[in-house]
Amino acid sequence: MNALLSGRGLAVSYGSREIFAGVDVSIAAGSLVALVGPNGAGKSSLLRVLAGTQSAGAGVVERTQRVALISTALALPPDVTPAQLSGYVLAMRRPWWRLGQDCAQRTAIAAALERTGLSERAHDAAATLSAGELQRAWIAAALASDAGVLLIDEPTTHLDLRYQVEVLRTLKTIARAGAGVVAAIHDLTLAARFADSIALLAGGTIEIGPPDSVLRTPILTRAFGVEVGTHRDAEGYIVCTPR
Amino acid sequence: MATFQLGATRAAPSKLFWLFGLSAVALCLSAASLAVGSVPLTVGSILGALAHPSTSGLAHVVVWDIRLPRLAIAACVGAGLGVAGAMLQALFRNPLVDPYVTGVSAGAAVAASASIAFGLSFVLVPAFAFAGGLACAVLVTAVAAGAESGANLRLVLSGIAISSLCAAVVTIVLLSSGSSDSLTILGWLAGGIGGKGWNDVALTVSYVAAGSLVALFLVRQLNVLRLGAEAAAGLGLRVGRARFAVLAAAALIAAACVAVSGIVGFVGLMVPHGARRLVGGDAAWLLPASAIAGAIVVIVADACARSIAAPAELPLGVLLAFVGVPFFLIIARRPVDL
Repeated sequence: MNALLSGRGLAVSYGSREIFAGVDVSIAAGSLVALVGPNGAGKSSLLRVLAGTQSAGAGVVERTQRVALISTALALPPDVTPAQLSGYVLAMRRPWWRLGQDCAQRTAIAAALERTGLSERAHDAAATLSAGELQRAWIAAALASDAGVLLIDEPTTHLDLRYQVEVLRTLKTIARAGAGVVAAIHDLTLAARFADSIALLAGGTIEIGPPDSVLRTPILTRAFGVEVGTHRDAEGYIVCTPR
Repeated sequence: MATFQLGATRAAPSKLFWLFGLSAVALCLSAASLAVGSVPLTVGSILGALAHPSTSGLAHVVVWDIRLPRLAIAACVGAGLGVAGAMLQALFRNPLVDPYVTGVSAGAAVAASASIAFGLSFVLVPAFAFAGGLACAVLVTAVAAGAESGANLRLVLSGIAISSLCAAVVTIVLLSSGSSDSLTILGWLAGGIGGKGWNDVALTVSYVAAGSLVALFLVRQLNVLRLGAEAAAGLGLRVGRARFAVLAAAALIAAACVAVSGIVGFVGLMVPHGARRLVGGDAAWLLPASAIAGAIVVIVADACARSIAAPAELPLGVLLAFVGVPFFLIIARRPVDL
């Protein structure tokens, strides 16, 4: 399968402290990748390098599609609606002399809002939206920009279980429609349930593979510095619990 | 980072209503300001002078050569400072920012006072003021650059430091220039729009209009920058380029205002707050609303400046400082919705 986004030999250092080095990543169309790892491992830095908003100390990134990076923990001005947010982002794709939205752009915004389940709340102010709806408003904005790859930093942080599931389901749907999606999350069990593959960034290196090859006790224990047990639930999904 | 508080989305018809409402208020106040001044004129004589521009007489001279150019410059300076303030507040996501805090006004003041001291043509003063204002704004922004946390504090502190340095340079220019130049510079620094003619109007309008036209095409960048630099970059905006374009356009507008009226503080700070309450934070609505509201504030302030102690005139900058400082202290203590 062709990669929408790939990075080879990526390295990031802050001062004399090396965060990671020699990292190879490849994101295929239609796949949802969960980027997991301990705090400080460099997940956000890796996403920024892949998006091109941060320079890598070494390595090459190749993008065949437009890449959008969203950090959903960012505050949204309270008067901005999901439709406006998508409109702001799409406005950057217009020629500089065209001030207003055209029909195609209005259609793209409506489609992005529908894919994220926000059609009903398209014109409600951010201040009145739930945390899950806010996260999805950011995701809709990225979709409206016609991004083929979505890199999302901590889409489930600060959300209760219902909204975590809601957001991850949305991401899975987006991936199934042909986009490449990478989500940096902390909950290993949710990652195992929703992601097609797991990218574990720890100790300066990355390990990528299907959930059952990466989410194993020795690997997780070494990565997180605490013993992590794994078993399968009744539906066959991997469940990770610290011991 | 800016602190947000609950707010409701205003529908477009409501925003349009406010824009028309503000325009109507500006027109009424403009008409009223023509009747204010040390020479008492009846409404009939003012209307007569306006209706017959080719006639002569005291009313004609007062209306056409003194009050109308003054009104035009007041409206232009107010509109310019309102737009520049709204742009800078959105750019830095900081409700305490205005052309003065970012060093634009101070840099423009240095360049403009040096231009006056060196006897440069008045046509060139705004151009030099623009160069000085932009240079200081870039310097302040560079000093404040870095992590988003604490950026607002660094910006305000570096703005104060650079502005103080500029004030010192202006003092040196004052001391080293001849006595007549010193008086001209001092009167100009206090902020005021008295004694201006149609040449000044044409010059100021051209610079402010050029900057505002650029601002119109920067609305989309301003709206995305409002989401924060990190989000803007992630969504595909070339943040560095967009920031410089916004800063340059705001500096051009503010410098033209400083060149014609001296340091008129607090308009760029207060007006965008009021306008934001009426039409929300979307730059497509906020910029025109700030322009009209800014014009209203300076027209009223100028009318007060020439009527409070008539026939003497209070400097416009001094009058606005008395209103602006309490306003600044109030908003510095409150969360503000950007």
